[in-house]
This record gives sequence, structure tokens and C-alpha cells, in this order.
Amino acid sequence: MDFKDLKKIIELVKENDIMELELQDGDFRLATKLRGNDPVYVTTSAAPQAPSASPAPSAPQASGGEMPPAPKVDAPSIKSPMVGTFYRSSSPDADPFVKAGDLVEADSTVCIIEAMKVMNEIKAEVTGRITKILVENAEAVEFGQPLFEIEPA
Amino acid sequence: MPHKIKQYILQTLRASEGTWVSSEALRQPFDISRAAISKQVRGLREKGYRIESSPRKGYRLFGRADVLAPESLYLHLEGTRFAKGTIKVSEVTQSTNDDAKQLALEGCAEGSLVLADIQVAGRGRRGRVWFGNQGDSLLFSMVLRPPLEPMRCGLLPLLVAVAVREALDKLGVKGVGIKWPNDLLVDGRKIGGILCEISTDFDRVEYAVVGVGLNVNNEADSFPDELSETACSLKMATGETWSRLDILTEILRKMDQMLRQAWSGNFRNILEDWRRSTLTSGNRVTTTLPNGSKIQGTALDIDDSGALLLKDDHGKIHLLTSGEIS
Repeated sequence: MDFKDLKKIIELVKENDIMELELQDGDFRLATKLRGNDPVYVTTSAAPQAPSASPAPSAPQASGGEMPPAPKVDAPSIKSPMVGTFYRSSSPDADPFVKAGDLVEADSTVCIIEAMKVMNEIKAEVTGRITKILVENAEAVEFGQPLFEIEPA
Repeated sequence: MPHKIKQYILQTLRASEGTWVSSEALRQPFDISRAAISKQVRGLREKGYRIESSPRKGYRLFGRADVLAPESLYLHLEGTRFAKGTIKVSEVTQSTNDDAKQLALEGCAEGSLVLADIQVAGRGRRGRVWFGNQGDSLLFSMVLRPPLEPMRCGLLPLLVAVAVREALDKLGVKGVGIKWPNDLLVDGRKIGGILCEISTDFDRVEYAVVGVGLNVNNEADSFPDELSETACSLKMATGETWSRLDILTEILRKMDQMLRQAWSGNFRNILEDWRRSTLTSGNRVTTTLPNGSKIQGTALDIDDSGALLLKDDHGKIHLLTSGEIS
């Protein structure tokens, strides 16, 4: 897939009022969604050497729900509100905001998601105990991707 | 109240363009004594305004002082959202972004501003230190309340970079370019940095704090050694001394216009302006991703979310939301 193809696809989506589209070509994946008259692109690219541990995204789930396919999580979770990079601390040498087992309040900061250098402090939004951290520090995350498992108090 | 009186005195003296204004004319609207006016004028002088007084004639103002004080800022920013919020100016602070966050949490209006001459713990992205010297740099942060989804806030740094670039261009500083997404460069050297921090729920933004650090009148030898090759100031670039008040006013007026578009969901012009002034698109770049891996290739363009389209040496297109370009 090259830039021209990508442009063409985006044009087609716009012109034909396609509400939602997902496309995969090798390890390049594109998901677009139309909101109102303004298309919002949700896009990811794998790191240059795609880590073999992470399975290639599976076929779109049939639910047609709001979110792009994400690892199936049964427990309640804190999700990413945007595409970006996940950081567990405010700077490389600072302590992580939270560790597994920590109790958090609804307004506790649990991580930062960065995109285009905007640092977004993510709040827990519920009071409870962090049971599992689902993403490695400095890894890319998608819109709606679960970041932490939390056991509401 | 003293703020309002100072503001009125300044406004009146400025309007009379260097001619005398009687003490009576200044005191009347507030129904206060002449002595009280004299006290406010002393306060203004301490801030750097050159005000002459005469027992019989009253007061007059000399020149256009380059003073960053709430009174002068409210005047210069009249009609914009920045004249409607809190304005806090301090000589020294830890970080204007942290102060602005505090204001945001206290519920301040959109457009509230924090300025400082020196930042002790001025931060760049991921905790990097930004250098600020006594009054040479323009350091300010603002509180915004974007009526946008968190995802679209990725365009905010691009908007701010365009606003600063255009403001400088209008004042006569040519040749400022933008490196993706928001670094401001002249001749390959950095003259300014922008740090946007937001606090969000899953689907709405509680507040955004935008911090701008611009090297204005810094001399070449005032930068620490490790920055002497990579940093630059407006003075170094143009040979002139600049008024921080003029620059700030121009930037904020431009931003006010652009935010009006952005908050209505229209980023088209902003994206076009960014594309016109970028130094990144079309060039060979090396991107260092946050996890340390690198991608080499050609930067093609940005998409409508502000993410960078990079074609690597194997012809594969990457869409990047993070990474350092060099």
C-alpha cells in the first residue's frame, strides 16, 4: 500500500458516505469511521519490527459496535480515549502512577496517553483496585483499547 | 478593584497619547481620592510604566512600555477570550503549565493566562527542561476548555505552532518553520517549544493547558553549552530586540481566531496553514519511536488528525502519532 492508495481509499470513504471501514494489508491496518459530516480516522501502524508476541489484528468483530477490535477483556477496564502512546509515568525517571494492586480513586491519574505531543492524563473514573496492567510502557495504543483491569470497590 | 483602577488609568493615559490628563479626570469614575490615584500610579511605575506627574497638570504616559502585567494585557487583548479569564503574572514560578492546571482545577474560565519571567522547573515533553532566562523569554500557559472529543485534541499543538508562526511572520520575523508536530525552528535551530497537556474523561475534555516558551531577546552566550548549537532566539535570528508584549498580543489574537474555527469543529484552514509552513513533509527523516526503535524514510504529509505519514525505505507507509523526528 502506498500513499496514493491510501489517499484514494480515504477519498472513496468520503465520497460514498461509508460510515465505517476497516482494511488490512500485511501489518498495515486502517480503520476509519464517519461522525456527522466530518470523517474521523482511527489509524495505527505497527512498529517497524512487529513484535511476534502480538497477534495480527483479527477479522473485525461482527458486533458493529463503537470500538475497533480490541483484546477481549472480561473484567472492567480503563480504556484509552485516543490513539497514541501509553506512558506509565510523568517522565522517564519518575515512578509509575500506579502498580498492580494499587487502590485508586475516580480522579487518580493512572497513565498518560500521548499523541502529537499532547500529554493526556487519564483518570481511573472509578474507585477500585488496579488488578492488571495490560500495556507495556511506551507502546502504541488504539482508541478504546483497555489499558488496566480494575476491580471496582 | 485596584486592578480596575490601574487599568482605567493606563487606558486613559494611553488614549490621550502623551498629553496631560488631570488627576480629577482619573479619580472621578471611582469616587476615590487624588492620593489614591497617586498610589496606583506609583504601582504602575514600579511595573515599568514611565508616567510623569505634575501637581497642576496631572499625569502623562511616555512611550509604549513593554510590560507584561495584567492591566496592560487586559487592554491589549480586549475582545478576545483571553481578556475574559484570570491573568496571573509572576517573576518566578516552578512551571506556568502547573500553575495553569491549578487554575483549571479551580474552575477558571477558558482563556485564563499564566505568565512568568523565569521558570524554575519549566518542562518540555516527558519532563525535559526548558530554559528560561530573566525576562528574555516569553513564557506563558493558557487554560482552554475544548468542546471536542479527546481524540481531536491531537490537533491542538499544530494549531498553536501555526498561530505562533503566523504572529511572528506578521511582526516581520520571516522564515520560521514548523517541524512535526509543533517545534518552531529558524535555520534549523529551535526558537520555541509548545507543551499541551489535557485532562479527559473517556469522551470529553475537562481542560487543556497549552504552554508556550519562546526565546525572544536571549543572547547567543546565554544558552547552556549543550544547547548552543541547537537553540536560537528572535534577537539572534533578526539582530533586533523585540517587545514581548507585542509578540504575546499578536500570538493570542491569532489564536483566538483559530480557536473559534477549531471549536466549531473546522480544522481545515489550520491543517492547510500547517502544511504550508512545515519543514518535515517531503524530507528524508529518521523517527525515533517512544519504545526506542527507529524508522527511516520520507515524510509525506499529515493526515486530518495531525498524524505523520512516513514512507519507509521498503515502501511501507507508517502513520505516526508519536516519535522524535531528526
